[in-house]
Amino acid sequence: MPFVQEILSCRSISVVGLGKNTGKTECLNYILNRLPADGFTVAVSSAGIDGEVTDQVTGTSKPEIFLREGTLFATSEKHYRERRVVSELLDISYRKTSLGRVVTARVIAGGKSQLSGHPTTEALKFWIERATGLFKADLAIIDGALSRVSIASPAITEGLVLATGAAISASMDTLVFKTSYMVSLINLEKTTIPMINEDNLPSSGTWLLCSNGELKQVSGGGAFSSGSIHPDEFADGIALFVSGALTDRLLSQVRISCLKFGIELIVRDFTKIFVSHPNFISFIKSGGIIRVINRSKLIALCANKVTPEGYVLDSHKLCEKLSIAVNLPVYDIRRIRYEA
Amino acid sequence: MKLRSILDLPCGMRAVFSNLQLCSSLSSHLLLEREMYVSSGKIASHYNLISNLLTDLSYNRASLLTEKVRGLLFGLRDIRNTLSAVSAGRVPDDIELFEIKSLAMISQSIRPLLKEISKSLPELPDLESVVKLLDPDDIRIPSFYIYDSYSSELASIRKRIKSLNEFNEDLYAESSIIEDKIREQLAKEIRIHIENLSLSLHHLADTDILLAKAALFVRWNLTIPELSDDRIYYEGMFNPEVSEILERQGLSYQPVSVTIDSKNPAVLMGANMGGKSVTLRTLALSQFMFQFGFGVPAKRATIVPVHEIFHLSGDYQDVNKGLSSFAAEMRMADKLLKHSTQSSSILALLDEPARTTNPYEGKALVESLITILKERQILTIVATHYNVDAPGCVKMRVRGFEDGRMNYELIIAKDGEVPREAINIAKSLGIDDIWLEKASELLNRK
Repeated sequence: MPFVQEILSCRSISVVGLGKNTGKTECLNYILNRLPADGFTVAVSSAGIDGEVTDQVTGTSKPEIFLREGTLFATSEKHYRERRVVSELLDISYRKTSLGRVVTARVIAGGKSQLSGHPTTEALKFWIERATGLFKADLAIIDGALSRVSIASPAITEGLVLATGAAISASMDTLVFKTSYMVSLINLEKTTIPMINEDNLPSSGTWLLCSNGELKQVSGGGAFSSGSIHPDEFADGIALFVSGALTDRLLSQVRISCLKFGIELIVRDFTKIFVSHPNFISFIKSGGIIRVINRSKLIALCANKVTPEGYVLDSHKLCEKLSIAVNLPVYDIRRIRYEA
Repeated sequence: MKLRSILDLPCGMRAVFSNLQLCSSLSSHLLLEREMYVSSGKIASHYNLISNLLTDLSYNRASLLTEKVRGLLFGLRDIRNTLSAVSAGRVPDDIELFEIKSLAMISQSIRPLLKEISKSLPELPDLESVVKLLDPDDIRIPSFYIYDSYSSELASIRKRIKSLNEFNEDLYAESSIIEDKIREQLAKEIRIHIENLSLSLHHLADTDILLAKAALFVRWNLTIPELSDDRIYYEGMFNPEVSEILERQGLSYQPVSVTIDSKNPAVLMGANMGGKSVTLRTLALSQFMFQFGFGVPAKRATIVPVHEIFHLSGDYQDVNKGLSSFAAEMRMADKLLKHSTQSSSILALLDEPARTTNPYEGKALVESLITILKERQILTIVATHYNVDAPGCVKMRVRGFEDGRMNYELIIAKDGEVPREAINIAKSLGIDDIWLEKASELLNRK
């Protein structure tokens, strides 16, 4: 497998899609199939409903998740009862989801199951700890749901595999454009400015990092109230730390009033950026710098040439175009399946 | 009366409940559904149990064992529904079998520990046969699936499944059929032990509750009161919630002593901010705590168990029902009077009844209420600012301001004495001088 070595170097990875039907599940199956079988335990779970036979939203057929012997998996009570795999039940969570509690089990004899999962990212994080700690899994893989990118946060999983595909747009140029924007966010560099107390940064608000390393809260710097940022406050700052979401409004504010001070904008990680592409570009073009505290490790980019409606793009051309745009190897899971 | 129904009364039972450190949510469910004890016999035997438990827990080794038990109790789940479904004939699925197995294993681990800690803790039934049934390979970990050792046929099919590279629907279906038969057989055997499983579940929750109560006894310095038929007496009574708040501010709670006699209603007079309301609330709280088996916050106490506790806290204005505060209060008092015709086993704690009406009628209403309650021999304490003059009642007052500090001690008031401290207290609050001087002038003229 092309990127198996990179995956093996992580303790946890997430497979996230740029949108629905981008081939996440196929991508996950592909990875599960190619990880070493002996003496290597994988734990899989999901951030929502996944692995259904038919898609819950669009009604198109979807591949099931195949779980082989020894794999740990977590799913909801409902889906555990519907599983078609011989498995040993290890643990039941105390928190309830809409599909019941979350059940963790170990596969005794290979089979299929739907994966559905943890209601919150916190619960997911806890599960990863437990799976890799108590149950001694070597690698935890989280299947993203819909276009939930938040689980790809380096605070949750160490690495990520991004799935993109024709379902995003049947126009190859638009697809490449949207994908490369996401990749540029994922690849944002880690800040070089030393932060005091890096593990214990404030959990909300916008903060000015002063030259002496101190953090000063910026009044009116919230994601939704950022209309009132006052340029005077920035005289002493070297960077602006946005603890929560970076929104279009906040970014425009920073561009207009703070760029002249040469201030660097720091966010926690790429999942906190909710900025439209044009706005992001105009910020960068005006000389703005965005850095992250935790940089994500993009392991691979997988492309799916088929749309749910059956429209098929030219796989070779798609991979090539994407590869040039993001400067990374791009894989079509369906194609390399035969080559691997 | 269930504990759940009194949780949000103004006396503050919720604080007691939330300070209980229960390990399992099952225990808190069961505790909230508990009925209040009313018979002296039941109360006495419960406190006897707690008293013995407290002695046993004071030994050194006990705390270590207790922590072990509590650690195990965290795994206790509410599987009452599963147990009743299985006993009614339903075949449990793997999730339910897992839960039954973990209950049996927890019970077996805790069983010897409880014996060692105290005889006052419940004796758990032996569930070894359930553990053996659901752990045929004797691995002793609480995971579960339909093990190969249940059936050689199943084992061989699974071997074939494992040997294939592709998922085989037919083989899987075959194995599922055998699994279902095994589950049916397991259900039959579990059904024999279902009563013991259910008993164990309840006993484990009881253990959790008893240990939590014992811990609260120690933490809050609670007392086991003596029982009486006609007289309630507290020495050094304190409000645990308020005193914890004060302690956090570096202050301390001044305990009070108070007596309520069924023959002589108590009238509590005295200054505003003198702690009258807190005293009444604490009396209500203590009575509930006593009758739910928590012990009472006092140095010493003698208490009469009652069937009903009426605490008129004074905050009854109910806009939703369109009642003014006066109407709401009158309705409550009316209910008290109606109930008192049927039973005298009532504790009436009335915080400034009729305070929202004119003093002339208010005084008459309060006096007559006290007189009727006295005739019916209801345990009554009334806090009021009116100078009531009901025959046979014991008047007490808060000692009041001394050297610029409030002394909350309750003392017997001399007859005819009207406490006049409102102006002094207002002064200590820094209220407008011109106003207060004018008021003093008016008083002197009278």
